[in-house]
Amino acid sequence: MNWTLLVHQIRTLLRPGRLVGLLLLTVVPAVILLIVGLTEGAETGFVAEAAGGIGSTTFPIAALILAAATLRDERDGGTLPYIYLKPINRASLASTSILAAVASTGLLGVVAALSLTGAAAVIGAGVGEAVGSIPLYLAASVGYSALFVPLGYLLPRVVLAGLAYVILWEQVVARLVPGVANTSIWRFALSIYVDLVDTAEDLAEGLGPMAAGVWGGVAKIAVVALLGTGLLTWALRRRDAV
Amino acid sequence: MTSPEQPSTIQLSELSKWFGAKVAVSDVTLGIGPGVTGLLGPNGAGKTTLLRLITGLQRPSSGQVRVLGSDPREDVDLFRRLGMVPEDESVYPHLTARQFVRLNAGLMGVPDLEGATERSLVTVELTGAADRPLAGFSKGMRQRAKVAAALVADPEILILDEPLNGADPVQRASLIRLFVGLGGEGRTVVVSSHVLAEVERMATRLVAMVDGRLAAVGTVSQLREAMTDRPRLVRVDADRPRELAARLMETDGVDGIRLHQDTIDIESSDAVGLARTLPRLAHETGIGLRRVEPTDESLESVFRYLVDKR
Repeated sequence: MNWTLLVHQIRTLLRPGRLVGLLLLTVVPAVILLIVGLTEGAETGFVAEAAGGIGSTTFPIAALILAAATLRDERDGGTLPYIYLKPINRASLASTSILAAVASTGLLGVVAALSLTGAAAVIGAGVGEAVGSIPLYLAASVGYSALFVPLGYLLPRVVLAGLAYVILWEQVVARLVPGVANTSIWRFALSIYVDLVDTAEDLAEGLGPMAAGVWGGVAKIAVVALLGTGLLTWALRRRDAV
Repeated sequence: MTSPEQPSTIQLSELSKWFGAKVAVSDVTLGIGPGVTGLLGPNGAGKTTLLRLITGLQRPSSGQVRVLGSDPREDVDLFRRLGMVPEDESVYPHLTARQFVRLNAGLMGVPDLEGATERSLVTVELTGAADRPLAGFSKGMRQRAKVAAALVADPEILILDEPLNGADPVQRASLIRLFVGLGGEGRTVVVSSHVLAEVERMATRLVAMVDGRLAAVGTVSQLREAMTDRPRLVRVDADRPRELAARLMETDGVDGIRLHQDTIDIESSDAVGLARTLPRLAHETGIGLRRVEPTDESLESVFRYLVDKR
């Protein structure tokens, strides 16, 4: 890992203009929880539904936009040579880029979880369920970063491809075809949350054939992280950088 | 390109690069040694692709690149000894010039970050504006910031892709002095440009490209000579073109004539002689010359001629 590159990439990713929009997207589950809670009252499991249900659309989109930009912005903006033509081995460049995306999307995840915690406290609902969403969002940050940073390097229209994955594949196809759930990063992360939070059992249906479990979810996310780092290292070595 | 006692620091062997059906660089074999080498050619000649292949930003479709004996695609440690100014104007707009240069120093692993950054900014005469964001910089100032970033680790090899683009005359003169100085210190400096006059001022050796192929390689004087030798096509608008054409056919140095309605195209291998003959003939015969102009003086046509000659 290269510390200078990591700091540079995080600073570039978290530029105020982009960050404000993504933070607004990230706190949507908390806002909905607050509105529904204040108007209809808090029901059991609703905090978990906001975190793992509504968040299953808003957070992956935010993570996609941020992670895909890590190297894609540098390529499109013509600044990649300033990073690429440096004595940084390609595996280190790949792992640092993914780590920068994890840190940035992880920050959004923490904000999502804390905003849910705040909303849950206001409406008097399960604060523990909201705090429990921190590992859900952090695991999702790792998985989506490992997927979208390499794809951002390789594909010019990565956001379109990413939206197809997080909306069509994860939200539609994975619901209709049970086996497809095993290719869903969100479900890997959700399996951790369902295991940690008792009231999240309604969300367990969405896991399809996948069993809930902290270590199983962590292992799957770790495999995605390794594969993503490997793919990006290969791409940096074998593909044209500009 | 390199003298026997000066080994090549950059060696290209049968190097080609194509994108789908488009050939950007075709079968280039070339050695480049210390000093300033000008890479000359019209837009689209393949200069940028060649420089990207040298730095490893792009992978050759075939052939081989060796820089200081290493393959730039495989040996990242080579980048401690190589600096590049890319053609793209892009820099990080939110960074100041100082932050930008310091970032490059940090990524290069330079031990004395602040000292190296300051020295580099002084070298390109950018200290006065060093703490302003790059977003507000003129094109010429951005070029200088990019040069400072490339110089910050004191590289042995410097690859500069159109580094004078957007620079005003004073900035140009200053950058040219800098590049000449760096070449004089024994570094290998490769500068691309599509302006011959510009490259002549800094390079002792030239590589001319057109359509992805090498058109000419040699010293500035060798290239000038090759360009002067080529046949020229001159269009003459005269009031009695047929009569003028007949007289010209009897003249030495005129290789061919094409007659149009009011004009004639003269192909001549002795442009200087033709420039003397034409007014004399016009004077002797009383033929009025309305316009005399070369029709193929663009650098591209010169290079195309040189490619055909090789």
